Amino acid sequence: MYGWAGKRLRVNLTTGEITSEPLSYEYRRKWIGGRGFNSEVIYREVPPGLDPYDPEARVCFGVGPVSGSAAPSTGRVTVTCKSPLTGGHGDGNMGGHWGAELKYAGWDQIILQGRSPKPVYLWIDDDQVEIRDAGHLWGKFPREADQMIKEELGDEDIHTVLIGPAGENMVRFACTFNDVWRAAGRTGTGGVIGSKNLKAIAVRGSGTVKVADPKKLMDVCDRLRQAFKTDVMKQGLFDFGSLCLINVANRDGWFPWKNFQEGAHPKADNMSGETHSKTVLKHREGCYACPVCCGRFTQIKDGKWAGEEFGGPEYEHAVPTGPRVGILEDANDIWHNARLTNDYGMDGIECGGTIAAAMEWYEKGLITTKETGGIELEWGNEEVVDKLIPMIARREGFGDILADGADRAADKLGLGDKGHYYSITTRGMTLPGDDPRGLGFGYGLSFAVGTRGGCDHLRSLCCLELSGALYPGLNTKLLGDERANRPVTKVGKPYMVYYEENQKTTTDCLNVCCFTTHWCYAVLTPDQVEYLNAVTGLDFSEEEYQEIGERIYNLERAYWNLHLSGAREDVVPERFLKEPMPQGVEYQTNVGAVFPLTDLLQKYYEYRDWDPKTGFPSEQKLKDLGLDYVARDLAPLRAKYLSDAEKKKKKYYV
Amino acid sequence: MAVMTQTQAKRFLEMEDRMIDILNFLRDKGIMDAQTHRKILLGGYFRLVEYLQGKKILTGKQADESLTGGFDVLIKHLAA
Amino acid sequence: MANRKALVYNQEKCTGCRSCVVGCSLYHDGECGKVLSRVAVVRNERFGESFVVGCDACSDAPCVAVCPTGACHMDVEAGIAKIDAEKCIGCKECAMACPFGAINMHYKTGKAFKCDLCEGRPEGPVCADWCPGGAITYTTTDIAFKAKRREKLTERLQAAKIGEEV
Repeated sequence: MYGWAGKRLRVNLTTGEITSEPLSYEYRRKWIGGRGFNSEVIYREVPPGLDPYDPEARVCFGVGPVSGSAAPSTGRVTVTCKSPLTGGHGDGNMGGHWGAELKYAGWDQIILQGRSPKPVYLWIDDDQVEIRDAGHLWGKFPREADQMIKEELGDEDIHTVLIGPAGENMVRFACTFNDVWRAAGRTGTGGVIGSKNLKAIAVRGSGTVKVADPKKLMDVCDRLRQAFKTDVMKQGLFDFGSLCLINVANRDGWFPWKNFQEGAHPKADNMSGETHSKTVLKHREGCYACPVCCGRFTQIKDGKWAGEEFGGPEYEHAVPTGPRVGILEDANDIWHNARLTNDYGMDGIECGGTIAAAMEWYEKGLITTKETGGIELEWGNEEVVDKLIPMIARREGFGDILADGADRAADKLGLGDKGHYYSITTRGMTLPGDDPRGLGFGYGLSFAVGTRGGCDHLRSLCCLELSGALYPGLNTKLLGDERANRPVTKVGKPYMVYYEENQKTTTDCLNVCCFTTHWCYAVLTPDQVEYLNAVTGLDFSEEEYQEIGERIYNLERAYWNLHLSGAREDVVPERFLKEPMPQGVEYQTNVGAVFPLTDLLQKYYEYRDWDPKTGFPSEQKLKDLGLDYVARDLAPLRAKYLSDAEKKKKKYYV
Repeated sequence: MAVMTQTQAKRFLEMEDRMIDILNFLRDKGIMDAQTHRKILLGGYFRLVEYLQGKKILTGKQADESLTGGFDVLIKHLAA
Repeated sequence: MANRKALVYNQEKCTGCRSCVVGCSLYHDGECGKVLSRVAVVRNERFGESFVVGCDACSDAPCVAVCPTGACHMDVEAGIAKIDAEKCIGCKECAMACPFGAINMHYKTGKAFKCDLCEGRPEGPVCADWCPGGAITYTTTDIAFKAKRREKLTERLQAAKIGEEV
């Protein structure tokens, strides 16, 4: 078989049963792989009413037909579950090399279910799969556990998936790593894995990816890799990592200062990629087969955190426990905090976002030291953040309240709507470090409707409004309007989000890195179809390929609808709609901006063919996409969603 | 070839996001069927220009101009 | 010798991405995988280090010296040892003799295989062509060593802040 391994691994951790399930041609053609396979499984096997931490809940790891091949950036893995943070569809995507190794071991997907009676880890050595004791690994940081597993198995070259202590303690935004530092950050997959008493998945693969047309694949890869050599965006990412965005964010007013009270700060350059590269950059890192190599490895050289080192950080990992909580003076504090969220195994975005919400509650007098157990939650107080991150991971004291995310914390503390105003979430998930009043009207729209729970730049990653200007003519070619390449404009944004969401979905199915197709636009859809066909020997047309993206996106949306989450929950935190962007620096470009969600949302529903009253995909759309079973599932719920009883419920999460 | 009036063109020109509106208009006029509508919506603006050129609604020159100029140019070529 | 091209490895620039590995296997065997690659990348995840292991085109190659059948022989023209698969008996002596671990045994044939500088590829070796960081370059050793020396000098100049005064 070309491309795919042709089978998936199902492990029942309650019974210890390990099964290999073949993946039929029809299944692979309909869902492609990676996120497609995962979303299909979660929709069917984790119904409403099942708690994400229930032993019967699933967590899936999916790679795609080109994973492990020579196409650009093929190491990625999608991790999918019902999210403990939002209650709806949840997934994360992580780079690194584990995904390629899984494919070489002969697996397209892993489905985990059940709960082991004691801590264990999985060892996959090609088709030999074993459940091994992990009592000695429990409680360890990923970098420690990784080393211990490699020593135990006698092979430094294996690859591991790991969770940290936060996952073990079922923090609702615990994350999953592979190769120690590459994180599937969002939606709390780490806690689901921890709830099953699983610490790690070690993989060794001695196989290869079979290629139907090697000459064709070689030609496509040569062409694409040549294109990356002269790509402007690639150069910025290679040189400075995703932190290359800091000064851009600051100028365009989307730099998250103090929970998005402001969008720019005079000292932003303290943590820019340029500064990072001159002070703490130890090593540039590349995921499997990647021509971009935007990964960083950081080593703090001086000050109170001297000697600490870790893989990362990304822009999105650094800003939440940095400027978003008011820390910017000493960049080493920011790197240290990123190291902490890595070691403890939590989504930096959600962790920082939750602390920032709590700081704003404290600032506004909604909570006092009485609720925080004596902790003075002042903006910019590094001592507090340094203390709080481990407390959250260990669920200690006030940390235990924050460990459930900002919206549940607001409810637990009895803060009402006022508290929720500052939680900066949609569907219970917090915003990444992109203020919609700056980046941008497309991103903002995708925050409202994203199928991971809203506030999620990676559902559309509509960089046509970020890096689009670096590719003259691209916005015209795809959307028909070059003016869409500016972030603070409504022009073309509904179509941009529709197009980019579909595109990103297919990218996640092949399981290649979206930085090759969004941000760097060196690879476009026709290129992906070309290398997909060269590897698999099949004849996907662009239309079929794009339709699959739309299919999976609608399936994920329907999963929310099953949980009675729809149009009323398609919101963006009110701060961005109501509070005009203040001036943070004199060269800031978006002073006064607010985000006009309503203007964009209705048009977006037209593109999607979703009923604007319910936010459910139309029955016809579902049928056109081969989702008849989904149409049947949703039929009785359409009226229910519109009932008075449902309308009265305020659903910050489900 | 003209497929819309100046008034209709003016309306489209003033819109901030018009891909689906123009596709709906062309479908309702019988210029494209539902299948093509879906394909072009998924595929992007350049697919629309390609299709209209294939249907001889745009000349080669008009298609080239539309590919570089976007909707503002395309709409003018489609108007009477 | 100085004018013949060889693969030159600049380890500080290696990002550990394995683009070289996957390109090599595809080019030579039409499949993608580390087990088929004539170049290898070693990574340490915990400490963020990686380096590339490729054929160093020894002028007095140990792999040639130990081969009992003459399968591994020096191609004087190309300036690199090559393995004639037909003569190879799969004894693994060459793989063990190589000081760098740059020779492997093929999982299908059981025979030794090694870098051949992508004989026949107009653009030169895939690994050097695809390396995003410049860790592998295909150049004359003359140019490579001069560049390396100048790198050191540039570093020292910066350290002495002579650049700033200018």
